[in-house]
Amino acid sequence: MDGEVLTQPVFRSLGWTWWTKRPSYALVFLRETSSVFIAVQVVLVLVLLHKAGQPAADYQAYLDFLWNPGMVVFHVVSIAFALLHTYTWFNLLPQTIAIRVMGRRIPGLLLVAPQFGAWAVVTGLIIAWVWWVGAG
Amino acid sequence: MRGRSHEPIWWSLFGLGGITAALFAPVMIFVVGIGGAVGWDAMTEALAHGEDGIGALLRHTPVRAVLGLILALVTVHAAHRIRHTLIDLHVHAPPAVLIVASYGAAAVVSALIAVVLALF
Amino acid sequence: MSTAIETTIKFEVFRYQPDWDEPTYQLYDVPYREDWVVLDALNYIKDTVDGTLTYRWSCRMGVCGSCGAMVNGYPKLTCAAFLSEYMPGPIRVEPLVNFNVERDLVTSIEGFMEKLESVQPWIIREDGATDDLKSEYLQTPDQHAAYQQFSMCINCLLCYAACPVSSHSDEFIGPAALALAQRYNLDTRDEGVEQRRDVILKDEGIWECSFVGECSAVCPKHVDPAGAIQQAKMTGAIDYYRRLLMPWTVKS
Ligand code: SF4
Ligand code: FES
Repeated sequence: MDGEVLTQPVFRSLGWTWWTKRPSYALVFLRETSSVFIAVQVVLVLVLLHKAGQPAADYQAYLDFLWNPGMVVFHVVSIAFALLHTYTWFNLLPQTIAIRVMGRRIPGLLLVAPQFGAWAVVTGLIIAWVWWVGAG
Repeated sequence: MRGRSHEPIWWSLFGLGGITAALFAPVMIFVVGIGGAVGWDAMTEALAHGEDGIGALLRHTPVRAVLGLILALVTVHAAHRIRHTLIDLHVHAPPAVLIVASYGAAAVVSALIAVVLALF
Repeated sequence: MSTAIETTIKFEVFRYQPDWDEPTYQLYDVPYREDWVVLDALNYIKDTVDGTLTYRWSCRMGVCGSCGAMVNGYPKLTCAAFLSEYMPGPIRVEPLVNFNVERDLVTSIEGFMEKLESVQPWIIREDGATDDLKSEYLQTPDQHAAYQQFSMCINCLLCYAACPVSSHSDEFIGPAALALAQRYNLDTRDEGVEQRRDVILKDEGIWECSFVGECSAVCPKHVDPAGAIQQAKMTGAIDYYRRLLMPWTVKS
């Protein structure tokens, strides 16, 4: 004793399993995981672009692989992750960009809504264009 | 300047790639992987081999340039996120190793995309 | 009437004393009162059951920031955590994670104090006139509103206990200190942006943050430290490119 400090503290960390500990953490973790699915999809497109320059049979074999039922399930899961990314990305923008007009922060919706609008337009235009090329 | 981070480079590319992925990733996955596969004929035709299919989609140079830019930005975005997720999972690798591995892989993929689109 | 069986609630309280080898959990039965918070239960335990239980508290009204603990795994001000929210129990009370535990629920805040000081959370004047008490520095309500939210912090450190980055990085300056840095950087009376820059713009400053955002979710004062850090990243990135591309616009 004599004023001597005996403290030998223990450190307790939230730990690497933080993402299992609360639904809000889990959602953030899924948001981050979207990057893995998106990266794989980019590689699939890269291979598609490469095969498009190869003989028709090679290309068709790749399409058959890409469109087999198992892969379609994977694409559906990927699109769910991509949509989660879209949704969270748009919604988090107001925290990063604080625009003040006459001393007040503009409502988050004013930043969020136009992004969803742009998304709908981009998605619609691209599908229409691909459809037009395919049908034409 | 001591200890000044160069993370702004990655963070700003992550941001650009993030908005790009948010806008384009869902529709890209749909067009490439789902539309044609589930029997939407026009979608199947659009991805068919040759001048009337995928060749028509990619005929114009600006289209290929924009597609390449989109894919590259999305790739860097994903690399940045994967790197930070690994760190947050307490993966104890030297920072430089993670940086080289993640952005290096993204650079390789982006270069391949550029080559493939240029030779198309 | 006196025959009514009193409702009790079970507490599992983290116990650790410096001369112990291992922490342990101790069980206590505490009478349930509708208007009691977890801090009342801790006080009940200390006053009537076990005087050795150690924890911090002061104001009992969510102002002093000293009573933070993990309540059923969630960082909470124990003076604001009503027992009724946790009925029928049990309630597990542990010290805030991501800190060294000195004794029972008491954590060491030394590391945080160093980080807080490193961002110089006070008004800095280039003319050194802060000790000239004769000067007045006027500020409009709009200018005040620009940083007001970030000035509400009570240093309760719940945000650090919620932060996955703080869980693996000792050096990360962390949510509350970075929010306070932003609070002073946004203050029109302050001229210390340059002085804070080197600390904030390091990796261990804002750039280690991966925007999990749970700090803002647990903050009892709605400070939104995650937003403060994101906004600082935006300013920091612009600053970085300005230095890179237009170095002549940067004063040394
Ligand atoms: S930012 Fe909020 S949670 Fe963090 S120390 Fe301040 S008041 Fe507490
Ligand atoms: S005792 Fe002061 S904040 Fe809880």
